[in-house]
Amino acid sequence: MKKTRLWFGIAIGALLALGSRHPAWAQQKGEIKIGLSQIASGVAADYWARQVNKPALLAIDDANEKGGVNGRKVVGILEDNQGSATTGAAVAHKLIEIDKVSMIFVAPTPAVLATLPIAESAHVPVISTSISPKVSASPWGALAQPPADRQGLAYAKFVIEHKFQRVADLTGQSDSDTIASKAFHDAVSKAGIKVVDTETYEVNAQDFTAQLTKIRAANPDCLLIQSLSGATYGFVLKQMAQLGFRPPTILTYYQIADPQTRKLAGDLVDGIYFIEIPVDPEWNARVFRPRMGYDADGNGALAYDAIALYLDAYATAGSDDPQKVRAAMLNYKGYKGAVGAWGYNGQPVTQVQYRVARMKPGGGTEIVP
Amino acid sequence: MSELAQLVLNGLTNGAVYALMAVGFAIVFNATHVFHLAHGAVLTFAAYCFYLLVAVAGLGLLLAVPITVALAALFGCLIELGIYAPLRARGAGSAGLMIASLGFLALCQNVYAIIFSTDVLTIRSGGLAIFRLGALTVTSLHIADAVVAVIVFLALQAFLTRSRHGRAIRALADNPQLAPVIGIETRRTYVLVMAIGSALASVAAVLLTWDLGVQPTMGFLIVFFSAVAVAIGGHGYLPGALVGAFAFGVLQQLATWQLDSRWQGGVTFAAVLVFLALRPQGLFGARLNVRKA
Repeated sequence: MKKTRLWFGIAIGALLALGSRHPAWAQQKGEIKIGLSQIASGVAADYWARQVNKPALLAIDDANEKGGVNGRKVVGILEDNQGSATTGAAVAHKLIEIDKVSMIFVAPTPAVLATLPIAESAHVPVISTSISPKVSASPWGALAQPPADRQGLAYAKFVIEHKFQRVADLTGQSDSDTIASKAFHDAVSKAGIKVVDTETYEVNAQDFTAQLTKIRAANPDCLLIQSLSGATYGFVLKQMAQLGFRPPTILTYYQIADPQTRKLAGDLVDGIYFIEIPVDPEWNARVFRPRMGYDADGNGALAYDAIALYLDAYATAGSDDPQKVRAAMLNYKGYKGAVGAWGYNGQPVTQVQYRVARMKPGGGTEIVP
Repeated sequence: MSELAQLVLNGLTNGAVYALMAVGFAIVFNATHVFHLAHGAVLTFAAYCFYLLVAVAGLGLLLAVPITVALAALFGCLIELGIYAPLRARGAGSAGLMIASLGFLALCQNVYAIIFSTDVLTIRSGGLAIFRLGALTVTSLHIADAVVAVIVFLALQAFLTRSRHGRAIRALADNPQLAPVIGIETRRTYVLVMAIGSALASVAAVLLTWDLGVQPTMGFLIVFFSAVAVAIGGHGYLPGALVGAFAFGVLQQLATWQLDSRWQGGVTFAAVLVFLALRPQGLFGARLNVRKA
């Protein structure tokens, strides 16, 4: 009996080994499968559902409503990577080896970095709304979001243009935030601006009082707060008020505009500046809001565009060969979608640029000229 | 200097919430010997109850708080009757009960997320009224945290030392084998202990929900911090949990004083490890041994 089991195991192993020698795309028939390795549980799940998963699936629905890709139906397979490297790797194996997806759309950064080597060896393109430059350094990766250093430079540009003299920053303890923070520090220091304090926090922290106490003592005229979570901004602003201080200018990332922040912090969000990916208001009003019931933010728009642009490029590639599809995507011209007209211009990094906006008193946002 | 004083003050206010949780955790652990990680699930349950009563049902605090405390106490009783008692009856040891407790915490977190979403739900927005003491600031809620923690603790001490049920709990904690011999109903006392511990967690939940809102995973870190506070204070001695909680709250803040805040978690727990290596019985463990002797 034991011997039979052993031979059975060897036979299955051999079949799997033979199967894995064929690239994923070679086994596709008819349908084009897109793997979505994204967060679907945990503290960030609701934001992720609103501004990543649903917009990405909406892009697939829209492609199918237009007749699919050259008449072929597009299928989205959403798997929960829990935001972690371990689960991200398991999801990547499942999507590539079992589902035989053509492409994996994956975030956040830990899951992306775990996915990349698996996707590279299977020759499956990876597109991400992460900001890690390691994605664009991979021969199979592409960033739909501007990379972290460009984010840091966008913050620095605002600080330099407004001639602040004493800046401080409060940053999450993630690789991407660290890269953005370093780019910010380098640029402002080069412009002669003093960085008076730098504080960090653990990603799921709720208590920022120690960091804010130190920032209060440093007395900055501009405070940069980096977070991908509206709730984090809410907690920070409340605790800042409880410590009885507020720097003259606060600069943040666009998740400050998440409704969670105002629910928590109320009018403390008024007047706060943030950098954002510009969402096309016409697309939001015509395509997104009627079906979703809320507005897309930069993440939502880029998630939609990352998939839609890939599928448009797939239709023009004239092949299922992932290398040709990826090349078609990077060189695709004339795409106009959720963040307006954009493309990769031959590079595996989006050419979309940040702009500065501000939280309006009482609700809403306004673009800062 | 004012920065250092503010850090200490922040630590004391955080420590007040840890204290309510730690005392609840300690009373359950001392009496039942269950490493009650599901205490975090009770905290979150109470927080959602309080949120529903205030934000959805529109009840005032005078009604919402006692109902929340009662519901949490009932939830604690159900955990004892539905999980710990059956496992104990089947011969589960401390490790088995702890794993069951951890499993129940994880289950609850998932259920809360399914029912309420993972978003933070709040019953008020914006900052709180602040008081300035020179360069120091503190909010009305944080003063209330400390006052409530001390009052609740004193009331609990009075109950444990002066009431028949309180003495039964202490007897059970001191010697679980001998307690039934002197007429203490072990199973009923376990249920009572869970009700008291859970009621204490619900007071912490009310304060936290008023301050920061409620989300499914809020209980995990706090129950972890409470367990650390109990270890610092010394097992088996209830005032130790109170002091340990305040000490831990202050330690967390001071860990950032002259260092990069990136090291906050590392420095805090390194300090706890060094302390426990030097004094494994905790701050008041020796006193407990003398008392037991």
